[in-house]
Amino acid sequence: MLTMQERLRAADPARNIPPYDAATVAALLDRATDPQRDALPAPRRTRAVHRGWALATAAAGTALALTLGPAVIGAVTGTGGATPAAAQLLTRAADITVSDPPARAEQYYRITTRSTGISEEGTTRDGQPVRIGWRTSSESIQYVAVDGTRPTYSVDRTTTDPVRVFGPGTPAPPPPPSSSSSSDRSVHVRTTNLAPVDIPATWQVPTPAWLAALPRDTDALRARMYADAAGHGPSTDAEVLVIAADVMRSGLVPADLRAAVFRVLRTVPGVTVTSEQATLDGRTGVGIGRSEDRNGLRQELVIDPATGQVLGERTLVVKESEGLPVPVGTVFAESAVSRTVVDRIPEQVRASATHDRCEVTPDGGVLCRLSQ
Amino acid sequence: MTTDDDRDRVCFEALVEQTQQALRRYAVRRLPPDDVDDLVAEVYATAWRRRDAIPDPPLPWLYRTAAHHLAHARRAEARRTRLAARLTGSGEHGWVAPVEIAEADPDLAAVLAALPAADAEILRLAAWEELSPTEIAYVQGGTAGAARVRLHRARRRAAALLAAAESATTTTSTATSHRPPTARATAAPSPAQELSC
Repeated sequence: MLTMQERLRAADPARNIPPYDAATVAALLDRATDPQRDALPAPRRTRAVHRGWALATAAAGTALALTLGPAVIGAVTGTGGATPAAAQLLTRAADITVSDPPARAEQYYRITTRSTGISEEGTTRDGQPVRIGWRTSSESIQYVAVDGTRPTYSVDRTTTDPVRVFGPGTPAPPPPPSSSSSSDRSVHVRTTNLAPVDIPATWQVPTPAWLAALPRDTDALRARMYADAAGHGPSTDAEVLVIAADVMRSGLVPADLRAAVFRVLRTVPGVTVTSEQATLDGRTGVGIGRSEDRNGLRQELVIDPATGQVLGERTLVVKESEGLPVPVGTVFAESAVSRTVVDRIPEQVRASATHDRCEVTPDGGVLCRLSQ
Repeated sequence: MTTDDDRDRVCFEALVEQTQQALRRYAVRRLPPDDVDDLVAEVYATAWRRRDAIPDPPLPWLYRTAAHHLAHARRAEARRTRLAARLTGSGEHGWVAPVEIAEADPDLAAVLAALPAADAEILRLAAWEELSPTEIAYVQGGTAGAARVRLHRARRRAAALLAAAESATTTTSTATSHRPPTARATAAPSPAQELSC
């Protein structure tokens, strides 16, 4: 039985492609090093699209719009918006006037992300191929300078032993390779030479200054989000939800901007309450997302209706499939985000950090020379 | 030409010699044949301009640069390049299965085309460019941990699609086995250059 990797390799369309001959290499070199060569068009910043949210399709949004009551349609700009329940939740969350914990420029946000997810391995038992699914958990703590002028430190670790969620149980299967090497269970501490202010900010990699500059007015922020989402994802509405989730995932969004993002989401067609009760890392909230799903998975942003805080996000199995033999309703992946303010980065974190050398490229990307 | 320029040129020639087949293959896997050499040339032109910034080993940097070129060539506003004009028809993340893979393994080609584009690309980078999750994170942006999770997920989705495709065409084959990314037995990227570049 070939693994996916082996099967891909066997079908590699380039496996018989030889090196270029000497004449072509010489031509490539001349073309590359010729100072008279026309400048390339100005590059545009590339962006990482968070896949889970991008799975949403536009079609279901249309169907959902039919369920909208007139009151909701009247309450939003544009043509339609979130379903009544979602709109109500978002309105309530946006109206909670919770201020952020006070933070001084020289302090750090300590952002904790606890993640759990199912992974899978293929193996053979008595000559028969079997698949075993494992649930593993990890924790990432980031120290981000409040004013963005000092480099971020991140501390990543695996927090639990893998738990089998499907596959044969007797005799006990070997632990998955992802947990068998000692390095995977150890703590990884990394930092770079670049501070957040040195890095071009995006919805995916926001910085405190960039977030501060975003509009708080609902219409202005909506226009900005739709402009930035245009041309990406299966539909612009779906992509607006993607970039909202992207920015919330950072844990850096200030209270007033969070409220503004909620007010924008209230206007996005197809946004609906996907889980009345969603528990993340011991905290319970309400899941919102787009109701459509593909590949049997659905992703949702979890909001605490009592505090207006984003608790994190999760992906649920919503359809039975041969590829993932777990009951409908199983949490496929989840991550909970929380934030506190600290005066300094702990000395043992600083002392044990691996330093990556990074630079900002002309097209706005960040290239790092990863230290081993 | 100064001595520095001469040394740069020698080092750059060595870099091109060392990486050209791998970069050519990267392009062959992702582009129609007519566009392969254009992409390779664009990447090396960028590499020459940025020659002081290329890490060692250079291949992940070259792949990342190539991915940037592909991404922005696919944007509508970049239509003026020849490469872009051909690619814009295939959508933002469009990937057209080369004829070779469609012939070698039609089910697999269909699955790669049906997967979310980022999932398919992470599978290609792992299997064809033989990159580790850390290197994939470097090429695509993001953290190694996230790349590891996405690779797991992509393999799972691919296996599910493949199983569905094959159960539709045959009742005997259900090739859905995968290995977690950390069980990879792939080659490391090219060894460090010996030149003092």
